[in-house]
Amino acid sequence: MHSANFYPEGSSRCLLVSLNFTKDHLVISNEDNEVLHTIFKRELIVASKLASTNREVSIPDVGQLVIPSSNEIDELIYPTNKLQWAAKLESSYKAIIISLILMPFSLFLIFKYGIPYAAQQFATIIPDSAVELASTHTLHAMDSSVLKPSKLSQNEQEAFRTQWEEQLNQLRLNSNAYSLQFRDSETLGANAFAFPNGSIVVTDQFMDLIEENPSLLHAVLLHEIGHVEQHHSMRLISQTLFSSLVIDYFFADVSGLIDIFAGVSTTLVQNQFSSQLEWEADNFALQTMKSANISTEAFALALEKLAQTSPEQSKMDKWLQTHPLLRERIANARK
Amino acid sequence: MDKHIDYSQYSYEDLLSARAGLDQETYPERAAELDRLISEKRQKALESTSPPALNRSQLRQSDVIFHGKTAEFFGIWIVNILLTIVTLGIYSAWATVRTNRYFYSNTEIDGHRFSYLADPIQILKGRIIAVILFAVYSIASAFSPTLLLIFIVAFVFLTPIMIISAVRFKMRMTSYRNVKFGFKGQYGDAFATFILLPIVSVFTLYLALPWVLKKIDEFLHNNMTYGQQNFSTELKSSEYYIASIGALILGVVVAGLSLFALGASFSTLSADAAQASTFSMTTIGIMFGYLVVFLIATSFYQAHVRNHLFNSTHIEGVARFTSTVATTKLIGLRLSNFVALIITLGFALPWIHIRTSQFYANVTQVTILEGIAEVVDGAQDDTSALGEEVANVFDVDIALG
Repeated sequence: MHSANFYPEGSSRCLLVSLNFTKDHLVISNEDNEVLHTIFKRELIVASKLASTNREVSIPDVGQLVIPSSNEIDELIYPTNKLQWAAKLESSYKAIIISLILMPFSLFLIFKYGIPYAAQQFATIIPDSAVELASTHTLHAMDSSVLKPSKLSQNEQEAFRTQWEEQLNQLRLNSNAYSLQFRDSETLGANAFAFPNGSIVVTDQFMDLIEENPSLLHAVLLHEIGHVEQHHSMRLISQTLFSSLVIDYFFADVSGLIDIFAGVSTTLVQNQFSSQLEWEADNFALQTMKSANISTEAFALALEKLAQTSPEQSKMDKWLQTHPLLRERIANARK
Repeated sequence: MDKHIDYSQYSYEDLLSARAGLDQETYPERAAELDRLISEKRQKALESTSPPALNRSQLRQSDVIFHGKTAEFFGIWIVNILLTIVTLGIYSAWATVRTNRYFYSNTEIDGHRFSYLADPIQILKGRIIAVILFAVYSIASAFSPTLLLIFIVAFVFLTPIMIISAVRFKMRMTSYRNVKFGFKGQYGDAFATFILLPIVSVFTLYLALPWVLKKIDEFLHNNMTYGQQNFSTELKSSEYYIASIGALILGVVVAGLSLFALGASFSTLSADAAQASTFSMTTIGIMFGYLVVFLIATSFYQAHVRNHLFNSTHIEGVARFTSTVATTKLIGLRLSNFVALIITLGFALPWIHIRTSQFYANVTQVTILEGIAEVVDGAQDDTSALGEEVANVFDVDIALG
């Protein structure tokens, strides 16, 4: 005989009852030993076992039973064919220790390899029309905010373009896939950036910085082509999407504090990833130049000039910055 | 087979019900024991309540007891996280249900535990919807600023729906004494409360914000139900102003003091030639300081508002609530939680959850009213099976985590 709380369906009443189990039935009787209900055991809906909490059994249209947990009661109410494996794992020292080791390890694998791989796969299946749409819209938005028409004359611009196309042909790259555009921007300063559809924008401030030396310009443009060739924009978008999903999924149930940490860790993961993309683009440029027997010194010089415009870098910046330390990149170019 | 029954763990009401159902002729000893325990409990209830407050409709005072144990929950937590990772997130729905069940069924008021009723499939569906919405949103916004604008507008109109369905889901999945809680808030009111009022408060330079926060709490709590009984609350704007202004002053004072301390440490460090490391230390220091100030200020607000909210809310004929959170203790709890979280790289989370639940249980009391045994389950009145089915289809928890 087992005692339990019995809550008859439809109201908040509660009765103290005793339970008797037969082969097929559960008999619920009150304190007077009057039988209240006789129910087929297979009609019982038993909530899965959970630590030492009371066992909750609902009986359709009859009510709910709450029974203190014990091994004896577990054997009686849980069908033998239904393994309570979750409860078993949660209380097994072996499973807990294995989880303790595997959890950090698998999170590391997910962030280090899983998400970048998924992002790479995802980036290649994005249709060209979407890529075109994204590029034109973004350039449009930038034109009406941070970018102004270039101060270079049309003739000057054409001259750079022609030189650049010759260079591309010499490197056996498809010159039709890329369009070179000039803009003025105080906000962005000396900068060059590529859109996933192959448009590459160079600022007047950047042209001033390299003192119109075409070989420096070409080296940096090759870096930008590296971004385009390797679908970096789309990979960055997918990476952002996947990592914030994963972080939300695993850590969002902890409100407040973790939200802030999730924000910081997303940024950290993000920046690690985007610096990886910078290295890839650098190496694309260097590789292309080397295979065409062009000196990579131009690339190192361009980076040195960029370094002069950026403020002193510290170790903290290495973590919090999107671009890897310029010093390391310059060394890489001279290697 | 006169087996002895241990009545000592029974609640007052259980004892009454046991006594009423007992045949005194057959079990005279049991009847005597029950009578003794009943008078004992009645005496205790009388002592624990100030005499004038105890009128006829009040049955007894009950503490909230939380039975959860850190060691036990740690196992549940770590195993569930690993299973979630291994199943690429799918198991998280089951993990959520098991976690919630653990906390609900370890919370006891007046001898009865809460139940968490959600089916993992409902939660999984909700998560899939949320993930798709999130993916569409972030891809679209990355691709086109125009689409982003459209999304923001749509989001403004969808927010009230998401809030009411989330609260409704949470309430419908909670039961006490086999009676479900519910939420009957409507879209129009939710839109006014969560969208219009906060926008209006911007034009008052946020001076109206505490009042808006009060309206939000009123909307949420006046629309909750327990079975067919309504929750009812009357909140005072003045309390929300005290809480908000207090939090603001506390935040400014703590921030001022820590900046002063930081300045002092700066001047000692400036002799140091290692500029770079000084910079990173200050960055970490500022982030840490920001979190501490944030924790202290929000704890003040939370303690004050929770006490006011609980003390002003009752379930008609069923229960009244008392909350006595001490601000200093809440600040202590949350600061120590924060430090523990960092030191253990997150592994203290189960301990933090358990001790936080323990804390809130200890500072909450419930006055049980006479109507407690006669609450009718709201769902019983819902005669339309179709209506129930449709409600079930939308009964998904559209919230990540």
